[in-house]
This record gives sequence, structure tokens and C-alpha cells, in this order.
Amino acid sequence: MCGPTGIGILYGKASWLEKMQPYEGGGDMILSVSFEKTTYNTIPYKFEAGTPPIAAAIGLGAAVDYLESIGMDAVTAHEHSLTAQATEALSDIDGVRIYGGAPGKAAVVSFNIEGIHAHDVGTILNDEGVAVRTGHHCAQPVMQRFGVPATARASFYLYNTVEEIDQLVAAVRRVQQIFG
Amino acid sequence: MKTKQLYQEVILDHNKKPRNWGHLDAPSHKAEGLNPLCGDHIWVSLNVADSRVAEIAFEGESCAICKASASMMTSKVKGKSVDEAEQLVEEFRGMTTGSLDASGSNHLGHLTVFEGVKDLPSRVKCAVLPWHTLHAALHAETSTSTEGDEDPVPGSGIATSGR
Repeated sequence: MCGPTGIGILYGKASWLEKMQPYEGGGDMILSVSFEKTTYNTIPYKFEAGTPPIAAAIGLGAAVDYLESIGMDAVTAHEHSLTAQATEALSDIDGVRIYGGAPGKAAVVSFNIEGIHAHDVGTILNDEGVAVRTGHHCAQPVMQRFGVPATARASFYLYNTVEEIDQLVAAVRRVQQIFG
Repeated sequence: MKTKQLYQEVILDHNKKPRNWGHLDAPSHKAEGLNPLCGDHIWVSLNVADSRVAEIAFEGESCAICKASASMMTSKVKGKSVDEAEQLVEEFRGMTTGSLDASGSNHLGHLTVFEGVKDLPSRVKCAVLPWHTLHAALHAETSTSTEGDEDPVPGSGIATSGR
């Protein structure tokens, strides 16, 4: 979501968070401590022990403001539009197989090119200026289900463009050309 | 180095027509090599006689870089002494991890086509796996009881056996 790395948000119902034990100790997470009794601070401080990642939190706030200024509906519509276009364009290439077509899926397209290992695909796409992820995507049982060692996976977000889909398609054809 | 140069004719050719593909029926040494992260999985079997690699074969499932590396490796070490093979393992590892300058003095010959992987951290393992596996096979104890015990390569699964 465009924010800094190393920070995230825990969202939970107050009634449950109040019942949960803190997972680490440190400054700000207690109200009082004695030999007899420790009283934890209220939520969210109970879970925010020690020096917070100040710069990351400010950066994340800026990212939230930015996304809200665009509107999450617009972000979603753009992602889904690119995903549909990329799916159609890649489907038109002989030898390309796409995995996963659930309605409303996230903005990713996993694919393989017949006879070429996904890692070779990824390295050549990289040379063509197209960054994809390759591998089992932390989903080895899914790879087994499809009988493949790995897939290449393109993903789309608010900063991607239709022109970049053309670039992806051209790069996939380049891979096929190199491997003859 | 642009990686387009990595996928040179020689590598594509070895990928398409791997040399010494298959397995030996009664190898004196063998090992299985696996890169769990990318799924490359190969077996190397060899017959060592008079401290020389008399026969060598490999098979498995892998990307083009791994398969071509294995194919060229088997062609290179066949007929070489075990010491020469081990030296090649060292030099190949050095070249692909950047500690050995491929343009300097070495015994790698055509294997320098793999030099480009040193700039592609995610692909170094693909190129090196066959060599790790050869090394593991050559170091297999002369008893099958050690099968699976030895893992000389941190982060990769290599099982060996010898007799």
C-alpha cells in the first residue's frame, strides 16, 4: 500500500484485544509494576512496547492519506481492469498457460510458458524491464495440484499502466524467441 | 553483463540436448541435489575407478541454467581425476559467487559462459547445484549407512550415498 516496509496494522475488536496478553514487554505497555502486581496499559499501548518505529508510522500515515485521496474504489477498479486485460493478452499467446481464474481474485496473473522453467522466464523478463515474481509463491501444495515446479506471476497496482501490459506481452514473446 | 548473454547458444543447446542424461545402473558414487526454494532437483551418479571419473550421468527436473550447468559439468569432468574434478568444483563456485575472476588463470574453459549468474543472486544456486551435488557424491562415505546424513551445503538438501 505504498508505505514503508517493516510496519503494519493490527485490527481487532476491543473486547478481544483487551483479553489478549501482550507478547513483549517494554516502555509504555504497563501502567504500574510492583513485586505483587503488574497492571498493563490500555489498548493499543499494551501491544506497543518500547520505542515505536516513528519514521515508519509517519510514512504509513502519509500512504493512507495518499490512497484515500485517490479512493480505494478507484484503486480496485484500476487493478481489476489491468488484470482482465493482461489475462486476455497473455491468453492469446500460444504456449502460455494461466493458473487461477477465480472471480474477484487479487490483481495477479500466474502463468507458465510451455517447455520453459519459470525461473528462466523471470530472468529474461527482468532483462526486458519487466519485474515478476517466480517460484512456488509460498504455495507448494498449489504447485503440486497443477503439476508444475513453479510459475511466473505478474501483479498490478495503481501505478501500473496498459502500456506495461504490452511490454509484458512483448517480453513473453521474447522469451519464446530465445528458447526457440 | 546483461543476462541475455547468459542465455547463450551453448547454454540453450545443452538445455535442449543435455549430455550424459540418465543414471548409471551401479554407480560407485551418487548424490541427490535439491534447491527447495526454486524446485531444482537433480541426481548425479558416477563411477570412480583408479581415482578418475570413468563414467558420470545426471537426471532430474530443473530450469535451463541448472540443466545446462549439469550437462556441461558432466562433459567436463568425465575422464578427469577426482582431484581435478574437485578443483573444478571450487573454481566454478568461485566464479559464480564472484570470488574468482573468470578472465584469470583457471581450468573452466567453456564453463565461463556461466559467469553472468554472479550478478543474479537468485540464479547462482541454479548454476551451482550440479556442482554441489557432484562434490557431495565424491565425498560420500564408502558405506550406504550414511545416506541422507551428510548435508555439506547449508540451505540446500543434498543426500549422498557411495559404496
